Amino acid sequence: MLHLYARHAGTVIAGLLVLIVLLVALAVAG
Amino acid sequence: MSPLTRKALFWCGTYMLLVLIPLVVALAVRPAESRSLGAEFGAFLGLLALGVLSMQIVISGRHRWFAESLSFDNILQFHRQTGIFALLLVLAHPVVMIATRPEWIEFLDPRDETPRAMTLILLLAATLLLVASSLWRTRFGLSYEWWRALHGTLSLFVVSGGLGHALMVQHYTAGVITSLVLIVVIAVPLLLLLESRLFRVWRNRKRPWRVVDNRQELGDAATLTLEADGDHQLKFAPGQFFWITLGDTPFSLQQHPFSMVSSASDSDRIAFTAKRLGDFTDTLPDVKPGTRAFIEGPYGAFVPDADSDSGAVLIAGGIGITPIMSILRTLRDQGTQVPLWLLYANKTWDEATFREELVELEKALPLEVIHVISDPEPEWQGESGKIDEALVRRRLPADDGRREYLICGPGPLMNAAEKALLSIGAAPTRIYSDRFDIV
Repeated sequence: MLHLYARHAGTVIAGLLVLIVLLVALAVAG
Repeated sequence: MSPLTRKALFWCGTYMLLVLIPLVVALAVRPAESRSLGAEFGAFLGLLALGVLSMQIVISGRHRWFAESLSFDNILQFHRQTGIFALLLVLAHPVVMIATRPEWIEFLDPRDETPRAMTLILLLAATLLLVASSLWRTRFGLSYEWWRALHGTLSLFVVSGGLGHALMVQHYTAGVITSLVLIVVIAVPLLLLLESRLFRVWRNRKRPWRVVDNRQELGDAATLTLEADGDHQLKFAPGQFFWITLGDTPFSLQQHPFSMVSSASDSDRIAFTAKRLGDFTDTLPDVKPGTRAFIEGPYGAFVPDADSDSGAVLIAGGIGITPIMSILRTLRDQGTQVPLWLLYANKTWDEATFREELVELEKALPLEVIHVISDPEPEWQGESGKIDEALVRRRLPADDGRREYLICGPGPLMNAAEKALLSIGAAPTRIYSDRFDIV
């Protein structure tokens, strides 16, 4: 795997994780 | 989808699940009190930061079971990116919380609960220092050895401090079971850190090696040959690297990664070559035969497919030739008949380490060596300048959809070579990169 993929994988995963956290917060918030 | 892509997706998915564990644990026993979106989002950012930080320890811990086939280089690139992400989460956590409820600034106010406030301020500063000292180590004037010690210590402090903070806030961690599960989840990476930095080194003390030869090479480099001091052996694949400690004890800050240059066919003697770069490597020419050494590894997946009749293109910049020498020597010993091309970039002809042996290897293997000199003498007849698309198109065969490409050298050369290879149609999954100057 080209290292460029590894770099982008970090960014994509970071974006997805923040999105998941935001969605969970929306579901939990009163 | 190639097996490598499948493996990468599997590990990305696994990583995401693992970093979300603190959040899942916290949500499993939700408090009855419902808070605003900002408060929940801020708290979850903190729990995510804890997950990401603890996984940083796992992914950089040189554990064979963890994504070994994705190569150490890729894992380090990923570690670097997620480290920056962790810092952003750690900073965003208090910002979002305090923006939502300004009275929560008391958590950082030393006048109110001084120990808590000081610890939290120190945690923020330590995380900032952890990432900044890695991104700009040389600008900080930090030697590699002290950076490693600082990185390990700060990691331990940040992760254990983050866990302590999560437990003491108690909003999501009030229950004993939740607290215990969270402690276990964070303790596992910390134990793995101890395993990689302490227990592994302790086990290694019974497998010493000894320097038997120290030879000067062109390009201000030295090759150290080591033999086992006992009946142990080390098997490795060409292109892999070891962590090496020179001296009487394996417990030293001076543990450095080096690619093997010797043939993988010989597991009794191994050799590595290092160029003097103004750091630890400056001491290598003075290492005397008889000096003890401790070796950990092998690591890395910079290994060519020896059965591919399509052959391989090897691209080296400067001392990046070392793993490629191991590959070529091994293929020579195996009597391979696959076609090989080597693009070897150096500033001057006199800096081309192993250039004499490459002439011999060209006779023994179906190998074409193409030297590229960026600062040539007027009488130089070969390729000059930098490795770029024009050079790659002129000197390498057209990509056949199967050929593998291996690159090792300084960052700018690797970026240029990768760009050039992509432009001739080489698939990213067939390009293997080995960066030796990531920190």
